Amino acid sequence: MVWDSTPSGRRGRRADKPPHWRYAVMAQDERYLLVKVRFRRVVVGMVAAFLGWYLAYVALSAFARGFMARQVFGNVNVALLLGVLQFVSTFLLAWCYSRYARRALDPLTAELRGEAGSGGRGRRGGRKAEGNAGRHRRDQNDPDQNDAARHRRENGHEPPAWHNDASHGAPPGAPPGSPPGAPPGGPPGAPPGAGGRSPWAGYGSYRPPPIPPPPGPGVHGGGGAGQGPPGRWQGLPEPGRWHGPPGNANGNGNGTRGAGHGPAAARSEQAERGAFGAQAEWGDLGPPGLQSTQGAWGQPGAWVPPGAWGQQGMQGEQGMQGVQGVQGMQGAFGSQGEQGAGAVSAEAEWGASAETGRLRREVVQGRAAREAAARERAEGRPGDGRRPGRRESGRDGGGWARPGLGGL
Amino acid sequence: MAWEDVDGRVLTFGLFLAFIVATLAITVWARVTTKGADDFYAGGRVFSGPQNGVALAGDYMSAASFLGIAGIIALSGYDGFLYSIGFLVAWLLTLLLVEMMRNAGRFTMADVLSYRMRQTPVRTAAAISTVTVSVFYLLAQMVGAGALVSLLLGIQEGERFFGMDAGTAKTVTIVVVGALMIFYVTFGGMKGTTWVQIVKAVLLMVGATVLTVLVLSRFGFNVSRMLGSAADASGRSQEFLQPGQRFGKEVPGDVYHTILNKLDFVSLALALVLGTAGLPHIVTRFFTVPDARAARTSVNWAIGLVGAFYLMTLALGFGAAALVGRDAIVAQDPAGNTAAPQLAQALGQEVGGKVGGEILLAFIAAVAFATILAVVSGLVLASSTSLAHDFFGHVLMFGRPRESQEVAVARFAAFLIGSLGIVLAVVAQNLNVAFLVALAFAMAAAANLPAIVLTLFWKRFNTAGVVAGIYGGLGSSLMLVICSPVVSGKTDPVTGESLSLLPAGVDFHIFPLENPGLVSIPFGFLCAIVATLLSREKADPERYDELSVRSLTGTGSH
Repeated sequence: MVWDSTPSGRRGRRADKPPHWRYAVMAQDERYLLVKVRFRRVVVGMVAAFLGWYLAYVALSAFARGFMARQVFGNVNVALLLGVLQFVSTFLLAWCYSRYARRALDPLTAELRGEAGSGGRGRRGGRKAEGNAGRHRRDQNDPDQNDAARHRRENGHEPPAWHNDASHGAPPGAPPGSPPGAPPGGPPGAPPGAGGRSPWAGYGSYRPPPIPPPPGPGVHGGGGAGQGPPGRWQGLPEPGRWHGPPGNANGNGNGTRGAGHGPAAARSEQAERGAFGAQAEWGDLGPPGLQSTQGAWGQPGAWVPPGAWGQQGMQGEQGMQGVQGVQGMQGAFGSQGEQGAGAVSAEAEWGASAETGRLRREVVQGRAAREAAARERAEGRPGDGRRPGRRESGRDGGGWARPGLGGL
Repeated sequence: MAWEDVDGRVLTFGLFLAFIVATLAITVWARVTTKGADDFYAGGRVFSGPQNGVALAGDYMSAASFLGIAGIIALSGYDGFLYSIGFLVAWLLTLLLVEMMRNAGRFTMADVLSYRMRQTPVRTAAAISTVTVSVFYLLAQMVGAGALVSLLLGIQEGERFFGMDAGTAKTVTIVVVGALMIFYVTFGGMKGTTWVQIVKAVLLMVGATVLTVLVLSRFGFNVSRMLGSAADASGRSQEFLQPGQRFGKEVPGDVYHTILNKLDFVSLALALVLGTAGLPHIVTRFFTVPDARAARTSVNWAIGLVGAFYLMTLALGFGAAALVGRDAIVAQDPAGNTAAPQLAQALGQEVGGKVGGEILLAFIAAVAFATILAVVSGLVLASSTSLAHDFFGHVLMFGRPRESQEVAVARFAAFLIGSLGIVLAVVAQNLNVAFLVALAFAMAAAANLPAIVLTLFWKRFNTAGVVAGIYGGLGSSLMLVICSPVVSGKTDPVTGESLSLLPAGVDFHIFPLENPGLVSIPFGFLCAIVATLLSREKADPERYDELSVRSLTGTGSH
């Protein structure tokens, strides 16, 4: 509510501005490229939709008076009806866009921001976490959403792939140690490139078209097309379901992208992406472990690689909670058979331990930042100091001439 | 005191005072907690999405919207509704741009524009554009305020109020409104102004809701019946409910003028829908929230509130046409600005007799007064922020002023611009300046929008493009308006009186449209693109990547 949150002191002055090379690295990150493509797509679509419709309406008002004067019912004529429809369409488009941004853009940008270690954000995390939890509890009470998701699933309306997941290296064939019955490389009939669950599955009727592979370097080697785990929309018998590649939990146990290279890292990324359906709900607050496969594909009795438990267990008490979170979520899947709902219920549980989540996040973020920095160093990224301080200060709103504040 | 003796005017005046006292208290509190530039320019970025959304709606719903649109609907029927649709749909564009701008900028539009360009020329251009748009909009609001408050207090020609005649009362009103606005901004900064906006927006929504419910209940909540009564009372039957009463009038037997009128309407519609995202007082408000996500939430709230409000003005306008009647409205104010207050009085009388009428009238008048004060404060704040941060801080001081210095300059700039507004409004108080609102939107769309959109989305865009786009859009809008019928050459065909800014007899109009948007908006884009392609300056792709990453992900944003 508007009045609940009175301004209280100063929050979140930006701590550190990431160095220049950080941006250059991020600009090549395929998640960033994905965000960019998606955002531009949605902007073009929205502008075409609302501007076209508005201008059509204006043109009708100016040049088609006879049509506009036609009475529809009572004293309400076409002109009034179309005018009110402009209001309705504005509300609807705003709602659709926000929903889309919240589900398909926010998780990615939050993740990128978190990895860049943009200082000021961390302090705001706690507040955001609560906000997110609240939002999710609300979503849980939103029957439409789940109904829509179920409806689409049952009718096979899922989009083929939510993006070129396959290009991130879907596991070739069945993972070692997967439960018996897990189909190698996905069941027959899996749509090509069905590399994971659509992040906008279950999010109302708004579903952008499939997105072509983002160009540029940084995209992990392809070759996994068609081999990814199937989406849930194929209505496979539950016990034989693919539960996601193992090693995901290992790779993602700390909630960040694995620092390693090679197929294992690629797999973990893929899983992370696959998990977006669930992860979307947490943004950068995704508790460790939840980004692992169970989050997306977990089933009742889903097989969990021992490594995952071990990893979480090593985190001590928090780790235990992580395990509980996973179990809770799986329980939710069991009872509802609905991924969205599962994520929501797990979210509720996590909301209850916001403080733990905050602590964990700090640990995780710090670690991620260190790892990322190490990786950059190892890969010989362009160094900082590309630009002298003077210009930097002027560029983005400038710094005050105050010693110690530098180019803030 | 017997209730029957309550003088509505005293009550109105009392409510005015109550609002002033309350907002002054807020301002003083804000002054105490305003410490640095972040606080002064951006309210410390501590406002939540919903709070900022309400404030955005408050900034946007000017007296021109509340009283003006209700009046246009009451007098011209359906055409007033066209205004509100343009005003609302424009927010979708704002919604798409708000996150990127919030992430990329710090306090002003120029922060976004100059991120990857040369600072001095870009910031100078942006500051000039910001101040020009704000001052035109401010002028329209303040001249309107003078006339309006006199009307609301019921000071007619030849009448005296506290020993003042109508003309003096108008001037005094303008000066008082201006002084209050300067006080809000210099002392309260963004924090104080935002809370004033929130209070005002809530009052406005409550007032409009009460009136709407009363109007609809009068017609048994049957919209069709209300429309029917309005059409009957207007004497134009169904035509009253169709487009063409005011905009795009068809002149029988004159195809040229018919087409011109229609193009003029399209021009206005274009300016309304594209201007909002470039209005300085709206853009400045993007930066008062902690992050882009909150900025998006705030625009969503604004869309909800503004949409609900404009739907309600529909009921108010048609209700006034049906219940008050055209003749009674025109008798008070030929422009129809008093339609809503008169409707309030009529409805109040039906509910609670004479006293009820006076009370409701006083309340609505106070809401209108609050609306005027809040909007002009937002405008002064936006232009003083730009002057201090962009022009003083970056152009004069090369981006290295002391923070305290810059804030002091901002306070002084607010005083300066406020005073300029007062002087101009007093001089222009008897001129017909209503066109300035549409002009401000057209300038914002022609000058600011191309620069913003191309900076964010076009890699090749460079300094020359920004500067040419801003000056081209601004200059073409201004020149076209000066050469248009709103400044000279438009006369009433019956009486021969001048309908333009300048008196009858002066006629140098060349450009036939009253709204420059149809030409100046494409021209602004064209200037920006052509200048970019012609200049030898190379855009830095790395800087574009940096801006792009930052604006999309929020990495390193303030």
